[in-house]
Formats: sequence, structure tokens, C-alpha cells
Amino acid sequence: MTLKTSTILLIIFLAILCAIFSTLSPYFLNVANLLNILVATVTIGILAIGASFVIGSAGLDLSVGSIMALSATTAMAIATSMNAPWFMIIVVCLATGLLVGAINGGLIGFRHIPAFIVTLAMLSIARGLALLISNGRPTYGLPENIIFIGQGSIFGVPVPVLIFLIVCLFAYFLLSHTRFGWHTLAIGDNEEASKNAGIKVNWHKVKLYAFSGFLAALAGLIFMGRVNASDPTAGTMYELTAITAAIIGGTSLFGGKASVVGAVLGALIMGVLQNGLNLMSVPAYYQQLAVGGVLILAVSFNSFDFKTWWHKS
Amino acid sequence: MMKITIFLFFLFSSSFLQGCSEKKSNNIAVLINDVSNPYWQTFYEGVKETAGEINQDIDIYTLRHAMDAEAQLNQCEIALLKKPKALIFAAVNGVNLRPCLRKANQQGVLLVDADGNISQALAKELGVSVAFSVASNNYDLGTYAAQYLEGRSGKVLVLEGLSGSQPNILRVKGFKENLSDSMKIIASQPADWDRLKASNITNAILSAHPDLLAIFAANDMMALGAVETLRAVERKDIIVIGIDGVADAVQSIERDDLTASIAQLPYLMGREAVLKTDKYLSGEEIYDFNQYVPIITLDKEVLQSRDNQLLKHLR
Amino acid sequence: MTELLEIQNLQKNYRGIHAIKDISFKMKEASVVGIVGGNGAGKSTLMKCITGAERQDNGIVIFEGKELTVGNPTHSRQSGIEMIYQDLNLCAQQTVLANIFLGRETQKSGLPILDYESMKNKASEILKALNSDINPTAIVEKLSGGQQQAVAIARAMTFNPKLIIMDEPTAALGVKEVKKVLSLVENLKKQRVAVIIISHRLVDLFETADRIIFMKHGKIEKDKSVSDISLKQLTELLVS
Repeated sequence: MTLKTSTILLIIFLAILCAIFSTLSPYFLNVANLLNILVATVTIGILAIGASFVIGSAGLDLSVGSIMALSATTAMAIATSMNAPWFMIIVVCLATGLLVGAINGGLIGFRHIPAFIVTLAMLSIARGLALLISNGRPTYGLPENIIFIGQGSIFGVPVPVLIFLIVCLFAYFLLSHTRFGWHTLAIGDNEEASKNAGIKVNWHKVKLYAFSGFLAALAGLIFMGRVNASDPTAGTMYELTAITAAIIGGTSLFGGKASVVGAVLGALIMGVLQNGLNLMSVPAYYQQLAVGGVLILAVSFNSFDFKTWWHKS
Repeated sequence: MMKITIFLFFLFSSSFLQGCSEKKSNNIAVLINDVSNPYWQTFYEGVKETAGEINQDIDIYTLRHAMDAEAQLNQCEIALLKKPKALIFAAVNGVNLRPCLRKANQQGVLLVDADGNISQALAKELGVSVAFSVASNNYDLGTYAAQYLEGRSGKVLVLEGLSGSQPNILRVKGFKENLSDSMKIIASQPADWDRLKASNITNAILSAHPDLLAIFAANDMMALGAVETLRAVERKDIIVIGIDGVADAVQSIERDDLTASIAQLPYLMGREAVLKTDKYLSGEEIYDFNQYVPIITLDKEVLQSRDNQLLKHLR
Repeated sequence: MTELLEIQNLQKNYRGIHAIKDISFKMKEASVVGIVGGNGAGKSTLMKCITGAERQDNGIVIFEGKELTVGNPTHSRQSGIEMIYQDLNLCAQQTVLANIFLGRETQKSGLPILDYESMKNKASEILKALNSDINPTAIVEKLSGGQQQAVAIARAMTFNPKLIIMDEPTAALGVKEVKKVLSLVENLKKQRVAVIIISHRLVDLFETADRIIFMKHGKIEKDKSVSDISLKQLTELLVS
């Protein structure tokens, strides 16, 4: 595997960010803090991977934050009312995400409603359902096994980080070594051509948004385990952070281009930024400014033609 | 040329950031909710100004979005890295901070609850040891509302908050247990903290009981919802009492719409949390888990006379 | 030589308007037929009926002695008919080989995993056969117009077609690039693939085609071997 220039630039950007924060705060390079950053990046990272697939197909999924909450609250409601065993929580949670995502994809692929509208509506519907199911309140007291998913560690590595690692590898493989991945980018690149080449574009969209919903549910599951509660307000605005991370990672908003490695680096940049600013006790409002600034900086840095510049000056 | 510009840019930006870097020892860390909510903004000011007064180094963490449970947990983990002596937390819900609070216990960090999201019983259930809690006494908020109606007789409607919510249960309990015998509760219905629901319930009850004397709502939002209905049917004679003392409620009282609001004082809550934590750290003992912050009954008379000392904490 | 394609009494109406009326012609293996005609002459409709993208109202298409299912692109394709659209239908940001195998990617036997190496080898082979030096891993949008045309042809060639239909293959190209594309067509002929070219650049047709069909108002006006008609005569026909 050869590294693309854009990936190298992202790594450089991340390194600069880390260098700045480590001079500003003695706690930054602490092992415990680096683990904090990784754990804090997991939910956004998983969503960013989903976002890079969807945006790579020239689509958009604004509903992932709400799906996170809906999957978790549905699973919890069923578990508490039916006294189901712990693994049923996992199954119901992931199945809910898969189903809601498939509904998104069905409306986009077969009814030809723009993805922006469908998922914007789903953002509202899924959040509303989550609030309804849970009566607007977090339900706490999860089985230890679910808490383990969010808080446990294996050989010193936090479980969320391990799950994230598996998701990254799987998604990387999916994007570059399967028909699913290639067709996703082909559709984003030229939908008409993909159709003419015999790709079943409408079914592909169902699968694609179901995949995005599944990843959102997985993020919801980890979230649930971390805070030991299914929270109907979980993941509010996460979709935007995830899209930001995917775009920093070099995914083209117009489709046809996506990178799993990029999305992960993008999520890490967001995570490092959040962590560093918190370490320096920067008030929340300034953090908002910084996130927007870094998006612009990272994207212009990423699209910067390094070679020409070097030769010119 | 370009290279130099970029180099200078990084140099400048890093020295700029150095300027706003943290102070050396951070004795107390404070976790607050989203400060776009006026309640938390006022709390924030109370914490910050008090810390300045007593020269205590304080790290304050605020949320970018309301109720972001995960972000608060991340902030809590970061706060612990700096090994503070104490952690004051206004948790976004009862449970999100559990893993971090447990870790804090292991590190021997003093834990102080602000706003009463973690009661003594809940702390025990979560396996977390919290030193004390600085919050308004919800039972008293209800009691004050009941006392406001003393000496009157007639029918009263109770608008409850979300059923199951601890503050709601205590507020309603305080009201009902201290209501004088001359008053009769004709209905006590949950309006889920919601303005519109409160308005609808008021409308329905009013048509069945036109001789209604008073309405008690477990928060200001619902009280303002009731006020809307009363204004529409021109029944300004009915007494409406809310709880919290939010800015909208104060304005409504000044306009003669809302009769009274039993106000919490978030500024004072922030101040007391810092002062008491500081005292505790310097060896003074605090015996009671519940450290209640004063509350105040606001009505037009109180607002106009301005002679209540607590009014200065109202923002 | 045997007949490859035979069209009998083809008709197609769009909301009462005759797009093509009663068209019949035959075409031999490894021959090149040019189709010319003004806008609305029915060239595109005729092609779409052959590829199955449109269902004709009347008439049949016989390919290698077998009748094609009406309006079934997959059947036409499986029978060995490939179409190259004017805009080429390429995914510009993807690699050459991803485009060549688009929708028909080779997988490792029994696994849902792409066989990158075998696709790359096959792509190189096909491009070499077309006398093209394009790198199969290059990104399409970085290639010249003629090279992109070559990619589209390579895609059509991958599954051993008997007939390739090209819609305006030289329309958007410079002189040099046109030469390359025309030599690609020559190459196809050598590999015993028949070609139908729709074009309004008569010069290009005269260089490659064996036969030229002139269409007007949904009918075949003239059907001549290139040796029987001059460029001047054809130009006059088009202008009139």
C-alpha cells in the first residue's frame, strides 16, 4: 500500500497540531491522555467512516446522530420490558440502525427523493421516536457486558478502540477491495454511467444507507456503554462533526472520492483539537470557532499543491 | 517568500496560543452544562467571579451542545489528568459521568455535586462517593409556592413536570404537603415541563372549573403556558405561580401576567459550590450531604421594593 | 462472409411521432458501417433499439442468426453488442481499470473479494491490443480525450463483443486525437469486431467505414459502399 500525498499532508497536519498542544500543555503527551483522545474519537470516527462512504457516493446522511440515539433507546426499551439477555441489546440496537438506514436508502434509491431531504427528515423522525420511546429521559443501569463495550479494556487497550480498529480495517477493505466499495465511488462519480454499466444503483443505495445506519447504531452502542445509559439526546449534532471529519479526510462532497484512512485522520484531528482545547480550558464558544477554522485550514492544506509550490519558491 | 510567511504564521499562532495557556496548579475543576442556557451562564459567572475573589485556580469546562453526555465524560477525563484536588460537576444526566467519577474516587479527588443531579441515594447506587451536593431544595421550592397562597381559599390546579423526574416529584410534594386546608386541589396533571401542554391543560380545566383561584406549575415554562391561556380567555384574576425565576418569568411578573415565581439562584449556587469546596479543602468539615442554596419568592412587590439581599444574585 | 446483424422493418414512435419508420439493413462480420444524418434523423433511436435501451414498436433485430429480446439491454450485451456513448460514460475520478471492469469486476473464485491483479493484467492486455500505452492504474480525468475514448473502447472490448456501436467518437477531439481513435477502429476491425459509427464528421467516416448509411426523417435515404459515393455527394445530401 502506497501512501497518497493527501494522506501524508493530513498526517503532517495532525503532527503539527499535536506539537502545538504538547508545547502548550504538559498533560497532552501523557499516555492516559493519548488514550483519552483515542476513546473520545471512536464514536465520531465510526460515523466519519460511514459519512465518507455515503458522501463518496455523492449522497449525504444527516440522520446518523439521531439513529445513534434511536438504536440505543429501542434496544434498551426492549431489553427492560422483555427482560431480554444482554446480547439481545446488541442485536436489537444494530438491527434498528440497519433498518432505519435501509428505509433512508429505499426512499433515496427507489423513490428518488434527494438524500439531503430524506435524511434531514429522518434526523427529525428518529430523534422524535427516541424521545417518545424513552419518555425523554435517559435509562440507566445497563448489563455489565454492555458497559464493558464502552468502558472495558483488553490487555490495556480500551474496548471501544479495539472495535474502532476492526471497523477501520473492515471499511478500508470494503472500500478498496470489494464491488460494494468500487460501485459506491462509481455511482458518486457518474451515476448514469454506473446504471448503463449494469450496476443496480437503487439497490446499492439501500445497502449503502443501511451500512451507514449500522455504523451509527454501533456508535450508539459504544456511546451507551460509555455513559452507562441509553440517552435519547445522544449524538445531537454528531452528523455534522462526522461530515466535517470526512471532508477533512479528503472525501469529495461531489462524490467519487473517499478515503477511510483520511476519514480516520480527520476524526483524529477533531479529537485532538477538542482534547487540546479542553486541556487548555478554552471556553466552549472559542472551541466552536477553532473547529470551523481547522476545517478550512485542513481542507486548504490538503488540497494544496505541494510539489508545484516547492519548485516555484 | 511563501515559505517564510507560513513559518511566521505557525510561529505566531503557537506563541498566541501559549499566551492563553493554563496556569500552574488547578486545584478545582468545574464541569458545567451548555452555557447558551441562561441558567448555566449565570452559574458560570458565579463560579468564575467567586474563584477570582478567593484567588483559587479553577478550570471550567462548558459544553458546546446542551446535554452532550459523551463530551462531558471526555471533559471529565481530561480534568482528572491535571490531578485537581476537587471536582465540582453539574452532570447532564444522573449517570453519564459514572466511570470518570469512580476514577476520581480512586485518585482521591474530592467530588462535589452541583444542581442536585446526583442525589445521595443515586451516588450510592452508582458506587461513587460524593462529598456533598450544592443545590436548591426542591421540596422547599414547592413549600414556598404553597406558602404564597396562605390565607386564601379556593380551587387550585397543579401542573406537574415530567413524571419520574426527581425535582418534579419533590416540588409537587412540597407544594401539596404544605398547602393550607382552605385550598382544594382539583387536578394535578403532568404537562412534562412543556409550555404548550400546560396551556392546553389549563384551558380544559378552566372550562370545567371557571371558579379556579390559582395555578401552581412546577417550572416557569409551564406557568408561562398557563398565563398564555388566561390572557386569551381574559382571566387575569387567577393567581399563577411558577418555579425557577428565569428571565422570561421575571418579565412576565413585571407585566402583571405571572403572579409569582419561586426563584432558584444559579449565581449563588455556583458561588456556594466554590466557597464550600474551598473550605472543605482547607480542612473545614461539612456534615450534611445536601447543602441547600437559598431560594427566593419573586412577585411584583419584591421586584419593585428591591430590598431583599438575595435579589442581587438574580440575573 | 456471413451476416452479423440483420434489421427487419424496425419502427418506433414517440407519442405519435415516427422516430424511425420501417428500417431494414444488414451488416457483415468485421465490417465498419458509418451512419450519418441530421438532427432527428433517427440515428440514436435506431441504435437504442439494437442495444435494447429502447423497445421498438415493430420489427425485429437478428444478431448472429438469433432474434434479440425486445428492450433487454442485458440480452443484447450478452449476445455481444456493446455501445460507447458520446459522453463515454466514464467515471472520471476512478482508475482506467475500474472503468474497464465497471459493473463486471472480476472476483477471486468463490470470494466476494476483487481480483485486482487479474483485472490489471487483463486491462493491460486489452489496451496493448488496441496499441495504447495507457497505464491501467491511471485516473481517467488525467487522460487526454483520445485516451479516454480508448478506455471506453477497451471497456467495450473486455467481454469479447462482436459488434461495437460508437456514438460520435470523434466529435470533441483535436486532429491528432482523431487520428488515434480512427486507428483504434482499424484495430477493432483487425480483431474481427464489427463497428457502427454514428458521426457527422464525414471525413472521418470516409477514412474508416466500408459502407455509409444516410438517414433522414427516420428512413434510410442512401445505403452505399464508400467506393460508390464521393464526399462531395454525401455533403450535398446532408445540406439539402
